[in-house]
Amino acid sequence: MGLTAYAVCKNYGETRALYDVDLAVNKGEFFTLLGPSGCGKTTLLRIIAGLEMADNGRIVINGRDFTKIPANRRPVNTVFQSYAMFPHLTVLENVCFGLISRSIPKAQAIEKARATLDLVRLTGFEDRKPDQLSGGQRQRVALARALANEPEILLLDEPMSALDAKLRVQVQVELRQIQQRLEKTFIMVTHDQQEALTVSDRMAVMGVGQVAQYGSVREVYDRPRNRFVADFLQTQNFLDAERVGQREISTNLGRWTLGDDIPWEKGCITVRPEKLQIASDASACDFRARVNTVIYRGCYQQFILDNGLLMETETVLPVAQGDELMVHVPKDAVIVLHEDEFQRMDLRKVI
Amino acid sequence: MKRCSIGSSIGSIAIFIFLYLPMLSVAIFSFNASKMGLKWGGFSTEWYGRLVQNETILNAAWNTLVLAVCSTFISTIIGTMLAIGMFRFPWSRRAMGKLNLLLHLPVVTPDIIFAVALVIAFSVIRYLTGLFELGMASMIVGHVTFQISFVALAVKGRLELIGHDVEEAACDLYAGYWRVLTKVLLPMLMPGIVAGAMLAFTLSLDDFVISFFTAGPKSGTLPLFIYASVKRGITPEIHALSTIIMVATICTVALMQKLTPDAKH
Repeated sequence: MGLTAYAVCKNYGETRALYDVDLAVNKGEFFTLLGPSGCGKTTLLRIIAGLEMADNGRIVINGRDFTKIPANRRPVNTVFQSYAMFPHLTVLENVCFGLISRSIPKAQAIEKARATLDLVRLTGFEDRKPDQLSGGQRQRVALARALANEPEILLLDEPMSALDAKLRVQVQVELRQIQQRLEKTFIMVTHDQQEALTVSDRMAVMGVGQVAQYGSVREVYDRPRNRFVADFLQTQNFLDAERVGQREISTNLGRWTLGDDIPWEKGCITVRPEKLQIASDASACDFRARVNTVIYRGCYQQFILDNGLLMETETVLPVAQGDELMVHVPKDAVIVLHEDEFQRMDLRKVI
Repeated sequence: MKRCSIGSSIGSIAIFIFLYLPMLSVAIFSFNASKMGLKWGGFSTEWYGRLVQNETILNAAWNTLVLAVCSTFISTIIGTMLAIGMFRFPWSRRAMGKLNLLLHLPVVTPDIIFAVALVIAFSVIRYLTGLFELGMASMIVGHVTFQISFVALAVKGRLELIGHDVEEAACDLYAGYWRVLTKVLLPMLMPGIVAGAMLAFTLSLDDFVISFFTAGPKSGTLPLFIYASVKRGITPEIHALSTIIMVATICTVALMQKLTPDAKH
């Protein structure tokens, strides 16, 4: 077991930052806390790091209770959003810092630091000062500085927010490769769903101070549980629906058969734009709609339909504004949203 | 972008002349061979020579230096501790506001009020304990009291600049409080500490009011000596002495700028 957090609460004065959050992260997995700004994800990370103390709840790392133990005695290390380099120390001294704090002999510390710098491909930069490095290099020093200590859990607080878009994609892949090579537990905080999907095994989507949904990235992306998660993961198309059969709903666009059971009488469903298909013949047509706007996106094409739905096709089709389309809604494309806002993690299951 | 016009550069030069002309004239007259009046009697370093032979002046210079060094040393340590304590302890917003006010108060309080308050405080302490005769010790205490705020404010500026991140990173990297302080916080604060110390040093060097009130019979400083001798008439020796003090101050300021190159960040 990597990390278990039980019922963590945190208030700042009147503001509730975290409300009874349970979290379980398996050993060796890349776990992401995904959520909009102000949802408490960074607070949760800081509580795991020990930089902040929870008002209530427990933090257990690899079976040992660390709730009351301060940051400098926890087997975790953090890559800070700002990187928090020590500007008066060289790259090598920065990376050695944690090792020397733990009284590891200097020669051994330097050897370890060099090896870690090699891992992040920064050999040759040992004697530079942080202000002589580019943003991407600084980020890798921050990563090396944390990894050199061989933490039981590596925490990453929006590690790529200061990088430009192109570099970010490259670093995401590198980070994933490093994590898989080291087989260490990584917990990352981000607000970027693409980033979360790229690097993580599992993720938790956080609402205001609570976990709205957790699961493997596939599960969460394909089956967002409620309106909040679906909205955050940009499923785009929301429809009110009424249950008419065990697996049949009625919407204002017609009756659709679904692949899932429906837990409510009246509720909300969502369909990702790329799951909607153009029907090959009238028998497969679930609804008809006129195209209001055609948006060319290069490798795909988007249509805004007159009923408000958004549709995406991979191939660029000869469709023009005003054309009527027959749209097919595949069974498994419809996501039934639960009404509850938050999902509690079943800690026993993960353990 | 349009460069500054000739007019504005002439204007700024004029302002500098206005600022420095009095000091320049003092420096010029310190090399004047004639003893009296404004008449130029030729170049001479005689007054500087006399200066170094004058026991009273040398004694006053020594007192000034001892006072400045001791008070700066003490106030730098206390001021730095105060700044760290004030801006790293999670005070409530209200407490913080009050502490801030208390910190700024000595900076804006007129020296004369500060000095009188010190005299009263010292006499109360003397009455109660029999200690604290006016002299070098009371002057050092007096100087430290007004220097602390300047040091603390300089360090505070630096603390706000470096933020909490690096300290948290050090904690996260297993550093205990002492290691955070000595290996991260103090090295990063050093430009602010040096700036504060230099400021405190120059303030002490040319302080008159507080020294005047807290000095004992044997602990006169250069500013006190100058004041006393001016009453007997301005002599070229005073010009020479003033010039030396001016040069010393300029050197300290230049040194300060050199030691804190990253103050521009």
